[in-house]
Amino acid sequence: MTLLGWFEITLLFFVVLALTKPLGLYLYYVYERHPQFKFLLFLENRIFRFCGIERQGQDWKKYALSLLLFNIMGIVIVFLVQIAQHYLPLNPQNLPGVPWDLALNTAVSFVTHTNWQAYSGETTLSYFSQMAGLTWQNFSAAGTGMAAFFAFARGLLHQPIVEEKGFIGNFWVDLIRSFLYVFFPGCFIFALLLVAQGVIQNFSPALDVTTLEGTKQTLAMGPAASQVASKIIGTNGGGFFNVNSAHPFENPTPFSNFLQMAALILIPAALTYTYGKIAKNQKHGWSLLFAMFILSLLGVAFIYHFESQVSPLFHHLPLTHELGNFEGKEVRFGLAGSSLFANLATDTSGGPCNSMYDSFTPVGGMILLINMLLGEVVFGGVGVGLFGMLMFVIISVFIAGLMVGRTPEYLGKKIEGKEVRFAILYVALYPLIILLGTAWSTLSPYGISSILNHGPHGMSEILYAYTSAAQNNGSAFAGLNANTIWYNLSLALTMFVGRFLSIILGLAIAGSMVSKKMLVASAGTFPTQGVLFVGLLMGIIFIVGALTFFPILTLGPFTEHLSFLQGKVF
Amino acid sequence: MLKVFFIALRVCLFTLLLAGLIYPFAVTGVAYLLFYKEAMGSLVFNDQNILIGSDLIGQNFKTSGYFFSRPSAAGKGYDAIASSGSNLGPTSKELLTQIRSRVDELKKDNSEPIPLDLVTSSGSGLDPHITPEAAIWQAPRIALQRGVSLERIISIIEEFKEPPQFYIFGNERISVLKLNLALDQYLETQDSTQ
Repeated sequence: MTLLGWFEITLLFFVVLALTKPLGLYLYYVYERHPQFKFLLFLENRIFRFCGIERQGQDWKKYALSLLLFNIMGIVIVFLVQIAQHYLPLNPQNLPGVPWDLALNTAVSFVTHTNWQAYSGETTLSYFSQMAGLTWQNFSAAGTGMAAFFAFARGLLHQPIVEEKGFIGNFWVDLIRSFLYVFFPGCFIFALLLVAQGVIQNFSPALDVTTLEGTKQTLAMGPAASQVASKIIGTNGGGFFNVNSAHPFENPTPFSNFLQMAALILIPAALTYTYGKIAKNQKHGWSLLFAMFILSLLGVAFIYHFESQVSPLFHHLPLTHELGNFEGKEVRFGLAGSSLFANLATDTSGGPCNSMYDSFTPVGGMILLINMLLGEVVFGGVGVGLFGMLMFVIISVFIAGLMVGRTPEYLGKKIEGKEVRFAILYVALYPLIILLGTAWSTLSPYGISSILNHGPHGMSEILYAYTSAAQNNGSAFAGLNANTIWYNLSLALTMFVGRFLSIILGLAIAGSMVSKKMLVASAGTFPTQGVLFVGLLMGIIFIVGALTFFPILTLGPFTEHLSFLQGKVF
Repeated sequence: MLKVFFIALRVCLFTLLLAGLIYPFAVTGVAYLLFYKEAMGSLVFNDQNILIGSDLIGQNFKTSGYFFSRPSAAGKGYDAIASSGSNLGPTSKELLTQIRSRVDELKKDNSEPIPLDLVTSSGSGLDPHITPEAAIWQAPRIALQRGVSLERIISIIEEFKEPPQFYIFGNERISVLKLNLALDQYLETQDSTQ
């Protein structure tokens, strides 16, 4: 660990902290108020009329139905684009159509905000598939997440209005506004910043060059910057090339790396402010943000520390040891840039990578797993991340209510049996699908045969895959060969359930909360701000996460760490 | 139900047009205007104006008169259309074997200890950089092969050493391609003046 490294890490959190309020306010005006300018209102109206959208509110069932329909249609379109890509334009490498199982996996993966990549970008997908398929879904999936979050927040926080019984907003309005006012301008500016740093953006076919030493090298080309910008700002994580943000064309400089890290957590952080604003309780918003900052700093401290250790296996070799665990890392980012990137990639549901997580030390890799297993509540994906955090908040106030023996309230509304049941279902859903998938794969020959690294690390590879899929993260212990029929289909199913069942549960809570009356806070109300609340919330997150996943973590990373210390190899 | 279906279809159409086509083309257009060189891949040409690679993408160097790059797991080594890391885990026997054989290879005509970045493969398999330590460690070999003084080589290395970006971000690093290009250019001109 170096001082400069820690300086970079601290700087990032300060930059994000400084931008939280202005961006949070902006998002509040986008989703909770009409556009302030006549021109934008005019534009919006034209688009709504073209699409046949009426602005009236939807109850939670209609909202969920619209959301599902849009996303399932997305899966179908992205699937078709891929299998027919050899008939479509912008395919200068003449790549063939994608096999059906891989195309299905990829379509589900991008629509569900996971961006699990069983394919290799530069040799599988045409420029058209990357743009019209994947970049489109980078916007759509992020927009869906934002919409779901705002619907949830409205349910929890809005005063009930008699004539709008049970309305939680209009999905189409929320979605289109995400495109128009958040992701289009944001990604456009960010993409240009990235190009200025050296990220490529062109439509030329791959270039054949003769290197300085006289050998042949083929440089992959393509419209990368536009996709990279959307993968980061929308916390999607699906890159243009196989190695994602480790590729020098996707992430060419230490500064582009810093920009990508900051942009990754920017919207999730800003949403805590927006949430506080809707709740008219700014302190609650800041409390949530600080809980996230503490958890995230803890994570990066562990990763940075363990990645700075050189492997015990190399002790007897004549090597310099200052670089730490350097297999799979890039010189330009160094250990700090790689550790922080990995931590933020798994805190959020983004899951891009700028180093190979499979080659991390056992504890470093385990922190990434834990970040995801806790439910990606630290920042989380745009929208849905805070969504998950609020589930833990509901459970926290419920438990606090049990302690003092009164019906818990959250920001003025009573939390009753029904909501707690949904919240527990939400929290229990993930262990169920993660552990089921992992167990099935480790017990079957077709699951085992994909493993690259044997011993306990093989177990971690499979666990990582299902965790990443269920939590819609998309990062990988990429040694696992996931492009088999079994993994393509089982992971696609895991991603689908992990995404949409959780959103539906959240919307159901919103639906049952929205018509509840606001109560005035009394002396018996558990405060949802300050140190006590943050402490309780973090405690609940740890207990739920640790109790559920401790056994499987012992089988994987813990066992591996002990072997690692003894210098055992597999 | 049917009504919602048609709304969904039209919204798909509109958003696909906006995000899938208009957006990437608009970014490309503006990028061409403002940052053409970067958008096209920061390509490098030699003195004869022949394309020899990209500033950002590492190349394989096997001749001992050139600085070596890091080991690469991309294709057969620095295959820029098959980017990949080794993905070998911390307790992998295969990784230990690979590193041992690289150490043995490098030990032959260089000193010890060997800088770690020269025996570990990068994440992308296309890492264009090595650490300054790794360059200085290779300097005696280069000086011997090229028949110039060690000081001359060290001064070239110093010239190409990049500090952390804006002195804050990342680490000190040296682009191997730029360094080797400079070797060819500088030492050629020196030959002709002698």
